[in-house]
Amino acid sequence: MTRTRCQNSLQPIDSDAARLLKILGSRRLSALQNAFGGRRLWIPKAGSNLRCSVCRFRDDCIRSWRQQGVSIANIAKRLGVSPKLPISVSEEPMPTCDQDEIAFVLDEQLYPLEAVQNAVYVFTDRAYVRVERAEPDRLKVVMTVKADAAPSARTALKGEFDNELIHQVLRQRISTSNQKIREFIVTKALVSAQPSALVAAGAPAPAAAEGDACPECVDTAAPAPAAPQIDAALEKEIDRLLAEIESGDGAADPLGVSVPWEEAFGAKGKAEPKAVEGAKAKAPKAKAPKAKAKRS
Amino acid sequence: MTAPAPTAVPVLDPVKTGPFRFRRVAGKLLVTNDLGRHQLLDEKQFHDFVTGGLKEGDPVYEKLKTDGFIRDQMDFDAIAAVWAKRNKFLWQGPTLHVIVTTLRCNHRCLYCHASALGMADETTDMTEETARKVVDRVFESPSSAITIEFQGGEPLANWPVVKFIVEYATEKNKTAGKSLWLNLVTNLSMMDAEKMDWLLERGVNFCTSIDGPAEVHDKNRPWSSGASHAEATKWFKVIDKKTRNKMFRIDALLTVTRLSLGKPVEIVDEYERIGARGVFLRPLNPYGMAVATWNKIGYTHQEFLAFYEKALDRVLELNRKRPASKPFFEQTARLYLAKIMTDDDPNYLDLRSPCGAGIGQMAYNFDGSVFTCDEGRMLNRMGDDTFLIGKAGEGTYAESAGHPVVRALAVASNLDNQIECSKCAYKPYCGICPVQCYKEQGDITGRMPTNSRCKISMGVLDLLFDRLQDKKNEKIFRSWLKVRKGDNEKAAALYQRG
Repeated sequence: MTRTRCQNSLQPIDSDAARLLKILGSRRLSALQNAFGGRRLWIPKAGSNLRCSVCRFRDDCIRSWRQQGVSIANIAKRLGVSPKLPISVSEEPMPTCDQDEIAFVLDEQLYPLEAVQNAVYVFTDRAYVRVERAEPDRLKVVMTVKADAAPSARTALKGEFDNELIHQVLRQRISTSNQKIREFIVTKALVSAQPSALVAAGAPAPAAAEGDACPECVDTAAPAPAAPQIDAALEKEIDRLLAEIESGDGAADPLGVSVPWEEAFGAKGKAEPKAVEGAKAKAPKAKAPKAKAKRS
Repeated sequence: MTAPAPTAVPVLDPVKTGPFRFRRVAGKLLVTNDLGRHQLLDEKQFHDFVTGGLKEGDPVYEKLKTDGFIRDQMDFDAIAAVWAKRNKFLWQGPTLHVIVTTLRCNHRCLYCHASALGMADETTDMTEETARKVVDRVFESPSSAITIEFQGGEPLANWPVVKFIVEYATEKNKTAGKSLWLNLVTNLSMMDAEKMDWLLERGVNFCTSIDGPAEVHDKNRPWSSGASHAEATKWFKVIDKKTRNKMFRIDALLTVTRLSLGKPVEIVDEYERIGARGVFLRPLNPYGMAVATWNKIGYTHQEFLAFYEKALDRVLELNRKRPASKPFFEQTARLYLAKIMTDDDPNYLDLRSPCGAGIGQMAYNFDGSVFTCDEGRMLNRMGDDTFLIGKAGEGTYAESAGHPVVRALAVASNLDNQIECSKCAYKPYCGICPVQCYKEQGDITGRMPTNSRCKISMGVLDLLFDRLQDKKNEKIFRSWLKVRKGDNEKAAALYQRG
């Protein structure tokens, strides 16, 4: 701490006192010491409304301003005080509006829990996040901005979250709608490339039911469309393929990656693979990986 | 506050809209699917696609149909076959086998990920006995293609064991009949004509580090006995000349440090000057010496991406000046582009799902210890044995390949298990490194949107899709892959129901 010496007592004083000495001069400082010496002083910021902030009707005014719709930030600025004071006086919940904390309530019928959780997950580098149930069908998200987040990240957080939430809702719908198809493709690829009964039979995909597609697509609260009939057929096919895998020798290692070369292919690499029977008739020819040097 | 009405969320057409992922890129919406097929749509096209509003005959609809996005037009046989082709590495087993012949090194690289030791300490030299056990274990891999990569330290510091492994592996392969590749990762400072000729006669590939112009390279890679850059570039040119038109060759790569950030153009130009086929720009990783020197040579992902963008644009600029038959590539971009523009997977072990740890590669330390991967071995040097899965000569190959750690890493790096990756538009082109997640974020699963490697990957892919919108760039990218325009369209006919 910077130290100087009082001109009168020659005792060391701290930097605040030294600044006061410079601003007021020794005579006025001495008068200040006589009046307030030893007491803690609050000096309002320049431009603040000192009279209002200490007025005995201050709290009534705060409540009145809030009823008129004046924002917490404006009241705080008008009085030259922290936003916590008008929040406290107007008996509004403290956590809902802090400089570093954002809280909002979401309708779970519009934004399913999984989509909300996925959305907040994206922000875990910039904020500490919490999802809680505010009331039935209402989710409350509380995000506390991390101290090291960039100022621009703080201001954009809410808007970015809104957009991310919408993306996550759509992603969830795509995933749910197509889950069976993806499972089927992967299972089929892992088992073999043989044509499935479904495709061989050329079963046509069901036509869209009337009213399924909404041109404007704004009513997101509408119940999810029923799964297409094709899913039921795919599910049976997946079960059949999985049963095929499980009935093979290599259930624990269906791709045979832990079977030594000589055991799988014989001493001269000619024999047919043993562990991949039932999983894949022909192992694809391996491709040498690219050199992956880390250093030299 | 209450969230606004979600008017922007369209209702899916359950009949027309097949599986896809999306992301905003370059002012458009990129849609991709599990086959790596992609298309950039404007807002209206995207909305119409999602809601089933696209009409047959519309070029956008036809392209989406061709690429397997239209649900009621999918040929499951063909799609499953292409899926299997893109993921064929799942059936291969470990193909890359990293062997550390010594931890000794005569360089003191600021970022040394391997925590190399001084030249006097011979306690970390692999013995011939251990080397024999390691090669025996390598050949137990069920893969029909094997790459043995010599790493260190500086592998040439233990030259007798390098020679032994080359000879023993070659001899052993006469029986096994595999496709055998040998790569020597070396700083070239201990190279001489005799060693070079011996290695070239046996078809050994070379890979070295050249960190750009001398003023960057020699600061990044101090060598007490001389100028590292001068020595590396001298031998690079000699070996490059001797391996022209051969199956084996020499490649170089660089690790980007803070010292490189201001010189993207100079670095690219340096690679062209020495006659390299391209440049491989790789970010720093949090292993070994790089942890201690991070404050001096580290950077943010934004800084790396700004550097990378300038370097990539310089590479594209050079390509415009060169004949189309002699392209000059950037290797990171090339790996991604192979996945974006073709149905083939380059089997780059860091860009797979699951990653290659234990199922695509294994790393063998000087004492025969087996690790899931080179990164796992690097952590071992930092005092962490988490990724140790066995020892050559003890136990069996199956015990290592089926080790619980290998299984855990496969589950963790499977992008379908990752909260964000499973829904990310870049999933078909990407991969995570669970060892880096473990080092950076404390667990092998990691948290992808907030992980530095993820941010760099997404930034590079954003840049590539942006540049791909320019037809001239697309032509250059195709030349890097030797993919002719129309090849994908021919293959794409597969996806249409006959």
